[in-house]
Amino acid sequence: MEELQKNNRKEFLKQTLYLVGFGALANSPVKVLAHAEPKTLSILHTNDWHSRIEAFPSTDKNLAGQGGAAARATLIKKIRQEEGDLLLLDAGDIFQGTPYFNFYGGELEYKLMSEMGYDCVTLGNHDFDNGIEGLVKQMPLATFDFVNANYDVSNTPLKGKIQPYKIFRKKGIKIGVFGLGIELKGLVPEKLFGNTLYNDPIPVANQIAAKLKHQHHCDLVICLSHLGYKYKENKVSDEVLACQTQNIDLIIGGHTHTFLPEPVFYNNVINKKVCVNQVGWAGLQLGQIKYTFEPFVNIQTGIQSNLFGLTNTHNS
Amino acid sequence: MRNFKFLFLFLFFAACHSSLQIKEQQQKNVKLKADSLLSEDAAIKELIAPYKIKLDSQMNIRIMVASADLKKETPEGALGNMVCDVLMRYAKANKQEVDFCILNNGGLRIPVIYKGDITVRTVYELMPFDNNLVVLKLSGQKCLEMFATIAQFDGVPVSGLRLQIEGNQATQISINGVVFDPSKDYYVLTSDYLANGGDKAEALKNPIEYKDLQIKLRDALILQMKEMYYSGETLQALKDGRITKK
Repeated sequence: MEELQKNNRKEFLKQTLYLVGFGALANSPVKVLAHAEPKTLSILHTNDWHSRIEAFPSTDKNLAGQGGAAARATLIKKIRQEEGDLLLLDAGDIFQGTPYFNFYGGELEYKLMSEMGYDCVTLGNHDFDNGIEGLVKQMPLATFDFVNANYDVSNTPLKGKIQPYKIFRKKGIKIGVFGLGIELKGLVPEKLFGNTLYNDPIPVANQIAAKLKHQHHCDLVICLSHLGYKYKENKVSDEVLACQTQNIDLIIGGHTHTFLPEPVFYNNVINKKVCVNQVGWAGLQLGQIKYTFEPFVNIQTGIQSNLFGLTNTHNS
Repeated sequence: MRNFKFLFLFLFFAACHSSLQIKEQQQKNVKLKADSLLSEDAAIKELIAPYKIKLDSQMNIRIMVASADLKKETPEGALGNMVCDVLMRYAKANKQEVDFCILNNGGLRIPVIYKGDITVRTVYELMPFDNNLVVLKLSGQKCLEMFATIAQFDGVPVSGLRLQIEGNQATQISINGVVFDPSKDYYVLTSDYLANGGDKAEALKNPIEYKDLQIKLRDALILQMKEMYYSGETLQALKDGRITKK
């Protein structure tokens, strides 16, 4: 019976493929495939986890037992088992906040994220807290990629270790991920960020996103941003970024430690929806954005989100 | 026949599956999932273990007891007051001439120290940054600029200094009980981060003298707390109106 279904499905796929050709010839919309099984791809994300290796201790009045890398890893594994391939991202400020960083300089943070299977991260201001040398020293421990498009690191030891963007293929879907960082001057002592030069994120984002969408034909363009969600004052933020750019589908943010109860949608310059999300800090939550794509043509048809609070059975 | 059926489906979907519907769906499908209780991943725990054992042996040492919750607040909070008071005591105990202490709210990284034991870990989490303690000799005029900055920040942690915030300005300024004299120079205890103009502390840049005490704020705090604890002191939640708002 199962075999039969498989055969039927094969036959079905062949015929729908034929129809794609037919549709293209007839210059009709390719949405014909909507009745075939849609593909879903999950983006799991964290930000500002600030060296919170362990769950908050039982003595903490508000956060006892919450967070911790071991609980996060269990959750990620569970989702991987259920959904297969996915994209696991972090929007920066991995370093600083517990003695683990003061004593081991971020070594354990990168080891744990590699073990969890992170794909890609961007740099936050606190990732510079041990200087560029301190950051570069830990990078070989990371099996994931570092992206940032608006820091010019060509005159620093970070040269060649950070890419403006990275393209991933998951479940046959092509995803372009690029990174944006906050202005370091005034936020990080200059001796720590050295010759890292800051460029205005908006034009950079427009340029890179257009490249990813139109030159590389990415089905999904994600920005890992450490600009901050939004500010009272006139300052570039994820909100500004979403509204003043195009070709970005999703902005995974950080820096402001904002606990968004659910993703926020903005209209970009050409009135297309941009999804913005951020999940607080300290590894207390894991965000999930789930895109649905039409098969073969990989056109986005839907988006869902989940928010996981991390509560540890051991400490709670 | 079969192809016919597909052609029909094709026409049907082409007709009704417009891009407008996709947009609507994008907005509607957002929802929240409840928290879940999770067991700890064994591989991760194993990776952490050797680091944790080494760290715990140094971090879990009690160095002070708080007799009440110490909160970070503006214009004045018991946490900021405590940190500045203890650092002033450290500087004086180490024979430094200091008139007052100024820190920034962003330098205190936990919102509250709860009543009970304070360990080395508590102080690391309160002050994780590797900033050094410095003493600046500052002109009265520069001090005035800095006081205005304090007002604009709605108050910051201080010690030895009293002032009132009136809009964007500081008034009724006194240093150790004596009215502030803008024609005098003062010795200010602060962090090298602020002394280099961090967190908008432009007024602290280019002082008359700059002296690095060659110790991290955190380490000075730990040393001084230990000293106080071993001589039988505990920490009170002190709010004495050193910064008020009009």
